[in-house]
Amino acid sequence: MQPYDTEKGASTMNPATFLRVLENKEWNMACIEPCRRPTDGRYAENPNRLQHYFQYQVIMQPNPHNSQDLYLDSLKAIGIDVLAHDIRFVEDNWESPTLGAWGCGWEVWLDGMEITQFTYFQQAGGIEIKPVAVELTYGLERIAMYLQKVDSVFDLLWHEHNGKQVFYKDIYKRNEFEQSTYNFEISDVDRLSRLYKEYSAEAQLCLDKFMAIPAFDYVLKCSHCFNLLDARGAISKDERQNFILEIRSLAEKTAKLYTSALGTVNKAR
Amino acid sequence: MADANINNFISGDFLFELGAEELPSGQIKNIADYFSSKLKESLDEAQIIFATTVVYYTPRRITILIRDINLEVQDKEVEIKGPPEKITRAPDGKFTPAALGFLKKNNGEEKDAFFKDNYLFIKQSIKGQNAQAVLEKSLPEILKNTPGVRFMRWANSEAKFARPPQWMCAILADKVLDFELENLRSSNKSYGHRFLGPEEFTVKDFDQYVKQLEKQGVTLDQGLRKEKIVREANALAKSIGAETIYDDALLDEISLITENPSPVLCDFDSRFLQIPECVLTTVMIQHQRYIPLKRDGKLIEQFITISNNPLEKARHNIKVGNEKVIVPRFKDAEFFVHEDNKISLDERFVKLDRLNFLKGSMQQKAKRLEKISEYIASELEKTLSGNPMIESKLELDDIKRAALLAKADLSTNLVFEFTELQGEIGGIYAAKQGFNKNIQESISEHYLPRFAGDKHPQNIGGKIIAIADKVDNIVCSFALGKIPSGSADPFALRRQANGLLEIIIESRLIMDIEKLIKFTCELQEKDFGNGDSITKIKGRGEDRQEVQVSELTWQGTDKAVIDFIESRLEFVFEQRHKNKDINKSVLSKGSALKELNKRHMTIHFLASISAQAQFEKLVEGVNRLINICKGKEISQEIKPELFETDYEKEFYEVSKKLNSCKDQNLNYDTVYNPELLFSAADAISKFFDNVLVNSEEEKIRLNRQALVAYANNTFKDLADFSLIK
Repeated sequence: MQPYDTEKGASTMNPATFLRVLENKEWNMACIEPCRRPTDGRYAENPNRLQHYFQYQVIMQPNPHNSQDLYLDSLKAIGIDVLAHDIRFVEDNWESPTLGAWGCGWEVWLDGMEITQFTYFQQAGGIEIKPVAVELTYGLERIAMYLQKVDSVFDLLWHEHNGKQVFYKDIYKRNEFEQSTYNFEISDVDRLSRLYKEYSAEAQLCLDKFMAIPAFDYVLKCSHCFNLLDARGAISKDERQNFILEIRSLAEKTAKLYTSALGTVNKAR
Repeated sequence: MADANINNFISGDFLFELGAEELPSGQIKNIADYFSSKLKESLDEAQIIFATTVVYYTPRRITILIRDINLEVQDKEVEIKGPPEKITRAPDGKFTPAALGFLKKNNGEEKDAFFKDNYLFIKQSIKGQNAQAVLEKSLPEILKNTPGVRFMRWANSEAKFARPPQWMCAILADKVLDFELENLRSSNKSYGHRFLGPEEFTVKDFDQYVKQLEKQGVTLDQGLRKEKIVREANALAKSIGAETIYDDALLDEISLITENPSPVLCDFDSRFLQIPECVLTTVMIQHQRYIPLKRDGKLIEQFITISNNPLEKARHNIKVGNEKVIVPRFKDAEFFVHEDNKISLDERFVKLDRLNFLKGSMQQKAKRLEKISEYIASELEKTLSGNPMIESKLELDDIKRAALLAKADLSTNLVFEFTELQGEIGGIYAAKQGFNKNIQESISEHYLPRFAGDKHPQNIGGKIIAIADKVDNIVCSFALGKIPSGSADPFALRRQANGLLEIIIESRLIMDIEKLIKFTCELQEKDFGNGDSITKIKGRGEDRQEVQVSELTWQGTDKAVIDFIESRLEFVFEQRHKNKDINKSVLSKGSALKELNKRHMTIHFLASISAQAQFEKLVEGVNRLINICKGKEISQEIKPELFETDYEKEFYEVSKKLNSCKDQNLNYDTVYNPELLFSAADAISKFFDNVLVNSEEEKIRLNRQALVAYANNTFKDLADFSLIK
């Protein structure tokens, strides 16, 4: 599949994951997903911390009995010799408070570095997922750094043609610097707060008109706005909790609508 | 039933291995112990005897070995005891309805009934159960009902478990057990290390199983893995003249996330040693489970990672990979320190008004900390000079400054990223800004003790601010109605109360904690008033109604906090002195918070003499005094001229001596001494052996009663001896 076109903190927020797993049917998909986490920006000065990066997202619902083996085979397929590394499944229970979603699983460590989030999805939007879906989220830059044996993400070779080379830094270094500067220093807190309110109202409007998928778009917009405000340090601990509860409530309403008779009636059209 | 004589039976070992996807390290042991205890229970219930059970576990398997299970099916004759003969046998010799009821309940017939030792019995034979059948029936139930936190479903499963089970190997002697869990079926197959030896193999018995696992890259015994980690990590450290830094929790965790632990030595750029050591070790231990290294007491630019792959061809990759991981983390910390240094602690104090405390801002809280600390300091000042536990001098200005800045580090990037280092980071930044040692240490230590058994603040300022911080937290939570109940204690108030008491007890601080609580309540009431009006729901169903209440309550809060903290005392003393009776006897008269040090000294004193032979005599003697005085109002004055014997005189003299001790100011050493107490015990027993209290002559009797009452009251001030057994 192709990625979704709205800012999101993780590929779980792609409707092809978040909403589709609620259908409780067989569903297998994979795609490359660009993600944004404003607080993780480091002005392109950290070798692997970025505010914009790519995940390779895999969903298998229901999860196959040999999910772990399939995953390890995928590593072998891209040239990782499992006997020449220390590959570990380290407990990590993934949780997204803003999406009312959680699961059990691991971070997969390759020689100490987290390269994949491996999660058995238990709940999304406050709704039980049955059958359970497994979500594999590969950190593409980190894996590529291993394969290309470079110490900095910016030194990754993106493309080579007729002896001409294009590196990660050629495409994204300026982006990292400018976006970090914007996220931490420039963004207008008052305007972002207003935008947040507008997006949340728009989400509510969609919910009122029984349109789950557009509603979800605005939930994602709210979430990104919240992340931007957070990066500015503009959110106190209490406010933070309120933001999270509000976005979660929207996400849960969206999930409920998506799976309800009123929501699914649109499917028949 | 591990006690039976197993030699008489044909017996065999039971081996059960549950293979699973990598289990959470914090839960493995609990699950294994649960399996083991439930299996024992099932066998016991079926009256099947066995010798020993042992549990083994790795991240991918939990193995239970039960030795020598009786394989023979044996019926058993038992006698069941019923009601007494007199109510079960009618005068005509027939069974009464009570007897028939008993028979019916136990499915017995009249012919099986008989009388023995004046009771009705019935004989019953119990059908023996087959061990294999019992295990096959109980195992799926045990697996399905395993309790645990955050258990998960998988695929279409109904059951929940820590992680998806992958295989079940179960053999009893030479038989393979047959049962199912979700879509898994038991077999006699197992698998080795995920990468080193994943092939399936057939399990024949325990010894072969352990050997085969070892061949396929797995050390089954968690204890052996832990030993190996310690041995090899220490040897590796020694080879470069360094020492390892670890605690038991770290070793346990590493041994639970590896099946084949193998240490690898890694390096990092020495420029990162500029970052505070506590930050570096937190990154290495908490985030990466590495073992940091030190030389001459200082951290060095090397660490050990414990990999799960011993192969030579992996060593280089593991080293380089882990070195690469640590760099961005250290760079992050470096970046945070750099950013943090732009703003001084004083400026940060100003920013605290944007940060919320439970109620009000952190800045308000810091100002309160200053006042409470000043109050405590002034209380302590008079008595501190003789305190053997306090080395540092009390500098009021330093304490006030430290209290005001104690929370300033909450707005730093480092504390945002490493919350567990709050306080410590503040101390480090205070040092950088040139604040004196007292201030640095007081800020750094004021969250201590953070958990049971954690270290205490050493600096007197640190102690005072730690007490102030905790009492302020507890009072505010109580005023807001956030009171611990049952197992719910979200703000860890019990731990904080324990910590506060431990500091005061351990450092022998002489202060009235009740007064401190009242002082804190008054301060907070001034700061907050009654807060906002909030809506609460009362009642259910038709009685349900919304009521407006104020956010904070001050009526009775001081008393509630006093009761709460006092209720932690027995627990806290139990950690120090195992003799519960003595703790109780000294604490039971109440108001212990007013004079905690005195009570502590008394407990300490009584505990120190409780092992001596005369102590028992003392307890016995004082209890005689208590019994005689019970229920009597005795107000008569003692008239020494009415004493008729030396025993009375001696008893009176020693009681007077004791009584004078009570009025002396009890500071850092108890003024009671064992000789005096034991001579009192002597005097009491001589008195009772030779003198009749209830003399026929009234004035003599009243005088002797007065003497007993006087002595009794004297001892009462020490402890309630009726609670000592």
